[in-house]
Amino acid sequence: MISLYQPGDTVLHRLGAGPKLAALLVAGVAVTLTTGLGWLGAAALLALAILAVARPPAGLIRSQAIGLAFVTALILALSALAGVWRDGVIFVLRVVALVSLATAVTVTTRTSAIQDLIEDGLTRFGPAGRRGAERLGLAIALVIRFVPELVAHAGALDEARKARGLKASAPRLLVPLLVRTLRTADAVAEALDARGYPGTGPSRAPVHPAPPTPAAGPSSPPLPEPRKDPAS
Amino acid sequence: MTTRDLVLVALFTALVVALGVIPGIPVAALPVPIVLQNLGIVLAGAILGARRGAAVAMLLVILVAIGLPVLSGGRGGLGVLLGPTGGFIFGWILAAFVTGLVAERIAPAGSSLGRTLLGVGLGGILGAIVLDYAAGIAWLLAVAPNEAGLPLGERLVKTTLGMAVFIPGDLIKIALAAVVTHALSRAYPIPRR
Repeated sequence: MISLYQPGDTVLHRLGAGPKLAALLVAGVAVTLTTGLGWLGAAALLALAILAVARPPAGLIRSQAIGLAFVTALILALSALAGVWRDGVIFVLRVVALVSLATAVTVTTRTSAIQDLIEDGLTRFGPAGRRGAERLGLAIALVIRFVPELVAHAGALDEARKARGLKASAPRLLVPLLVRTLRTADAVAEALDARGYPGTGPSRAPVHPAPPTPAAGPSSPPLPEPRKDPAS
Repeated sequence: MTTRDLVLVALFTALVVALGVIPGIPVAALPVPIVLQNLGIVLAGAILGARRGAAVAMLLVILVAIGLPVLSGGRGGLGVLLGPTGGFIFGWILAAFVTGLVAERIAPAGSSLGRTLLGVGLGGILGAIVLDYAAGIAWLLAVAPNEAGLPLGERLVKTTLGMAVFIPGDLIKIALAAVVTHALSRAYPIPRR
């Protein structure tokens, strides 16, 4: 999985994650409290300019814009129908300002920098918070590790279905995919416990002992490489 | 939370992310293929239970916030959370929790298909439709201005009507989640708590 962060050397990249998020929060509150069309128009233009400085990839802009266009069109249509078109315009300007700024922060801030910020915050809550931070780090790493594998497995299941000449259906895909997910989870938990991974307590015994066949034992190292990166 | 709980939550979250990557699946009653990602949220509650289900949704929100493209169509980042539909994403935490809570009570693991349909159905409708839409609409109304001074009730009704187009698709997804939960409980049962 490839982060939405874009490496670069702009002013925005050099600012720390903390100040950027704080500024985003302040801007969010300010934009939500303002109703003047002139001010909001200026804010939206400024936010777009800041986003342009961050140089986001076209694909990201496209995927965000499609979702936004739908909601804003709906709101504009509804407000025009209700005879409150000014409300609709204010709404669209606010959304453009907020989303552009937030996207600029995401594009110029390393995933790890925001993760560190969250984990630092958790660590302040004593030993329990520290344990939480360690677990969060482990959980995020596990998600990133297993998404490509599950996507590849879903692809394989779909090919198997096609080879049998069956129609696509959600249960036909989801049930075997879930079995694989839960079975892998049992194996990974066992492996972590066996290595005494810090930050986690002892597990209960797995409900299902790892199956003996190597094909169904995703725990056996080395794990298969994902076939392709879905997010690239 | 044991190691196994932690890993279950992480891998289930990976599954929900994967459901946003793979193409939508055609359903007979609908003109467009359905995206399975929010079905994954209902499944998280129904299969893992309230606590771990909510943890899946929370982990997903954190992944979005740190800037990973984990939502369907490769969306992600703070822009999605702060955007007009951000409330629906935060609402997933509530949706998974309530789905799990109701499903645990009405249809414990090993229940018949009918009971699972009832438990996951009621939980899903309450969690993924009533509460998630409430969170989404509350968020939307907080961002949307009200210069014309419309009464809150009228704004609520209008916004809800605008969202109503999604409810049939959501109902189908919840029914699918119940069928999948039942099939899975026979293929690979795990304790919900």
